[in-house]
Amino acid sequence: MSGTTRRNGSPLVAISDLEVHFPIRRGFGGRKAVVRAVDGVSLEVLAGETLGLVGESGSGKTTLGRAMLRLVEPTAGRVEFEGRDITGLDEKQLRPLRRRMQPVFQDPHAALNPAMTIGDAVAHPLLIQRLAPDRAAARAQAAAMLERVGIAPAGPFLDRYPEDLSGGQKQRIVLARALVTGPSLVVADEPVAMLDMSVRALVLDLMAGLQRELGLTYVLITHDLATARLLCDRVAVMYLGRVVEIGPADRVLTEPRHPYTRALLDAVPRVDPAAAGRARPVLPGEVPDATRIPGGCRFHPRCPEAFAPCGPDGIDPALGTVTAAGPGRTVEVACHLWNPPTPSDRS
Amino acid sequence: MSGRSAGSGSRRRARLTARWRQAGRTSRRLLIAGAVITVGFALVALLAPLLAPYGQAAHDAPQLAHPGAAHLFGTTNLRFDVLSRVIFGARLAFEVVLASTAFALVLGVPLGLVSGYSGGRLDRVLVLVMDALYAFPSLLLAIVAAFALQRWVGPGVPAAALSISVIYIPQYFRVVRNHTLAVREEPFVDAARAMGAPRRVIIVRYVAANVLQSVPVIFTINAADAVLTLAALGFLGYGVPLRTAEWGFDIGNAISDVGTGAWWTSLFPGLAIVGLVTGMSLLGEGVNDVLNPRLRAAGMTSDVTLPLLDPEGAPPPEGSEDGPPAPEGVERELSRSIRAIGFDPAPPEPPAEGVPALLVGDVSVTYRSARGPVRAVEGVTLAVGAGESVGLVGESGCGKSTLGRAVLGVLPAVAERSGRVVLDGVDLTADAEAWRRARGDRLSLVFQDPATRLDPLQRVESHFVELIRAHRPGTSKAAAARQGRETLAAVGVPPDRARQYPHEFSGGMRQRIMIALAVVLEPRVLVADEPTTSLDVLVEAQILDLLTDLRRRLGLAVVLITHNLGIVAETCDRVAVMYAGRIVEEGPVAAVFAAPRHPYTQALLGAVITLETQAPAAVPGSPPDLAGPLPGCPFAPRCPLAMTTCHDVVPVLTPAGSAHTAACHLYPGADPAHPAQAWEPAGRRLRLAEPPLAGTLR
Repeated sequence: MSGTTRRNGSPLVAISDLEVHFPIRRGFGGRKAVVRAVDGVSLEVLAGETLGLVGESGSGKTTLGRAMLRLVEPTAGRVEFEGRDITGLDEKQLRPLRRRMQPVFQDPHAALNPAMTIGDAVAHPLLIQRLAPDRAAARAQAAAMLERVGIAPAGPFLDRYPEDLSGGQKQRIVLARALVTGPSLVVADEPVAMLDMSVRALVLDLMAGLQRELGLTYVLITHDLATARLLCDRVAVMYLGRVVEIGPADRVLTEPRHPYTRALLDAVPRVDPAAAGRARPVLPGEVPDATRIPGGCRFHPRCPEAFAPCGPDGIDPALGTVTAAGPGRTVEVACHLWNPPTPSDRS
Repeated sequence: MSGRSAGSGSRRRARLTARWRQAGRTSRRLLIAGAVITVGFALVALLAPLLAPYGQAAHDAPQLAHPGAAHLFGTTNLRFDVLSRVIFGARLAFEVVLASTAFALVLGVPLGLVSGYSGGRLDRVLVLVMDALYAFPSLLLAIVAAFALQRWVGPGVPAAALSISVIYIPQYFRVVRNHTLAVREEPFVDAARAMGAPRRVIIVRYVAANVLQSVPVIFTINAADAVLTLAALGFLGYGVPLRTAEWGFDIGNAISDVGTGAWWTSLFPGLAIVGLVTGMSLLGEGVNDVLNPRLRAAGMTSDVTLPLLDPEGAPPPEGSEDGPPAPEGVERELSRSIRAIGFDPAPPEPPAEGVPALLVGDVSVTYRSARGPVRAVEGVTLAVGAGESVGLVGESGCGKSTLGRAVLGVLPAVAERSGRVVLDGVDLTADAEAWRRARGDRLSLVFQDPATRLDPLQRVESHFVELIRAHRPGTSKAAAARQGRETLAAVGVPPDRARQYPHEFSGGMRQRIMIALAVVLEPRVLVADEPTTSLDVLVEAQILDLLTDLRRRLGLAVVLITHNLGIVAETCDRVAVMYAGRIVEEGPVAAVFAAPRHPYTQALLGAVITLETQAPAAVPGSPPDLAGPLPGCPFAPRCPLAMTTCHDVVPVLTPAGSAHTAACHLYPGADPAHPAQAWEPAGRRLRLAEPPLAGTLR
């Protein structure tokens, strides 16, 4: 997919210094703690591209996606959508923007209201956004969108309930509901993870086609690097609330710079029969608790290549350009191996 | 709700009809009996002025007359006609039940919805108030309310109904609020927020529409209770005024008659109460059963909030595995998997030479369903040697999890199994006791989701102590705990964490604990059902390495059920591809993956998305309905190479390569009527080396 989509290089979404922290209370009357789900992220989503957010659970990728849609409130930083800062807007001011940014969820079975027919589910956004004069007109538009995502002919489906449909069909309907208001940004959180291997390709193929036809910008949240490689123009690798590496998918996922990206790639099981039984390096440990983020580089306790400046009293590495090659082609890495700390960093 | 079209209405009806048919005969009969009784009382109540020989307030009959022609049920000491009082009492009972429920619904449901959806301070205050009301003894609460209301509103039906509804408001509130809390987190509510829907619209169309399904059930259960409460209020003198006929009051009034031998004044109103309460209870339980089949499957009937907690309790949808058919609750699952079941430790017999650790012989599993028998597994034969690992792959609904459960002997009650499961030469299917003893001991299981398989109230160590001592009764607690710690250390869990509770561990650590529990008694066979599906890729790699390491060290025979072909390629010796409940291809991993013979295997491999994939191909179509007849090859409707034979003759496994077998008519011998004499390469085989299916991403 890479390179085939039309990009004009201007940012559709610009995120700067974004933090999303959740206060929690541990145990019975226990002490308060703060989950630092997103902890200082700056990145841009370019119009027309597919940006992948990859990482393990606990990396903050889902929260970052939800913050872009203002489904969670950022604690600090700003999110600009189509040039407008949306962090300070209230729900009423946000409403007209919502038709331009839509989510697609992981679990198609839970993403559709079981008490609503397919026709009403896809028509409802149009009525809420006042893009259709009445229910009949909204349902007609919904039917057209359903046919566009491959639920064709849509007629027999309009009055059915989600429980009658397969996972692949439901995910198409979720796509139709997201696209019916004409969004520019679609944030898709693991759109195929719950689907059978045999239908994943169909849904990914559909998403790629819709992107070309409708000029969509995708943020694809996934833990599956193979899906990211297939669909994304650029990927941002996240660890414990930070972006640790970002760049073109064909570069980041073929020549990983950050030790974490490399570990993720090494861990992907290969179908290649030649690889059967092959011993591969496995990164020990798990993502630490986001209430107690390690000092220095937050990856250092698991990093096979950690050295002095990374340690607990070391320096928190910032994203630095490794290779610059124009908008959308630059690789940035937050790692002291690639961007050695300068004395001024110590202040 | 805005108006639905006729089509959706009929669909709803069809669904209800299906549930009705699924309900057991007994519950259907009870429901009908309850409905007949309740409707009978309702008719009597409705037609009371026509049916009653005298007015309810007419007290000019002879005092305490025996039942006779003029007064069928006799008369009371207050000169009422008992029959008329009983008939009008039914009317009052219905009035009060309906009014009190209406009050409780109108107040309890919206409060529960708003409180649950909004959260925050309002929610905390409401919960506090409702809990206080709930904690108060309900009859006492009704009496206090009745006492107060009779002063302010004046005695009558409204006062009685309101005072009874005070008991039910907290019930509706609690059920609706708890249900709302759960629904609020559903992605479809997020979707509604993302489309800019105002809060009111979200609550009405997305939350309430799903929450209110539980209300009819509470209503039917509460109605019977309301009749009793009304009678109790009347009996104690806090009900409706004297002239209104009310059973409880009449019984209270008849107490003094019992000593004088006037049995009729108390018996008939008493029978009326028993009759209506029984009828309504049967109706309520029956409706509950039909509307919430999951409750019935879980063997519980009264707690209306449970469906949320038991996502797996549904009866098996046609051959689906994503919601494994598990009518037993988590608790029973636990006892089956972890808590050991046997007490008599049979010394493991040394396996005879050449006997596989596990032999699955011609196993078939059929689920009973509303649509007829579902053939989930069909004639599967599989042998796994000690130290060998076999991957079981296929789409969901192809029978792999069911086969895993059949091997363990933990199929749900709606399943029927045939065929043999032989462990180390011992036919377990012939000896239920041996099977029971083997589970958790020589035959063990690792599930997909470790979080639900560990008892949250027990320390990790206690899981081991209980398991070990159940299977090895002579072991001391200290020795069992020590053995548990050693095993934990072996799987990479720090042994000093053994006294912690399961929730204190991460998902990966919990899966390590599950594996430690599965191997602590040194099993011969381990069935791992999607052991890493809920884990991240790095943790997945760790767990797979651990399983491989244990297999080699302990000589375990491993059956690995997964949809991930990459995992099979990296960790298994052999692979069995399942489709429509049958094994369609089987052989060494290297051979099968390098040169898949069955078009289904080729399609599956073609659909895998790897880091190198440029254009993945989907498998067109979907697996067949296993409830229907499958005359030929079950893959034929989706197969690009299907021939006439494929639609008529079921292929059997036949040699299809140097080392593996496939059930496909492309290979000689697949037609059982023409068994292959010897393997000879077919001309077609060469063309099949590349996955032939189209449908690219571009």
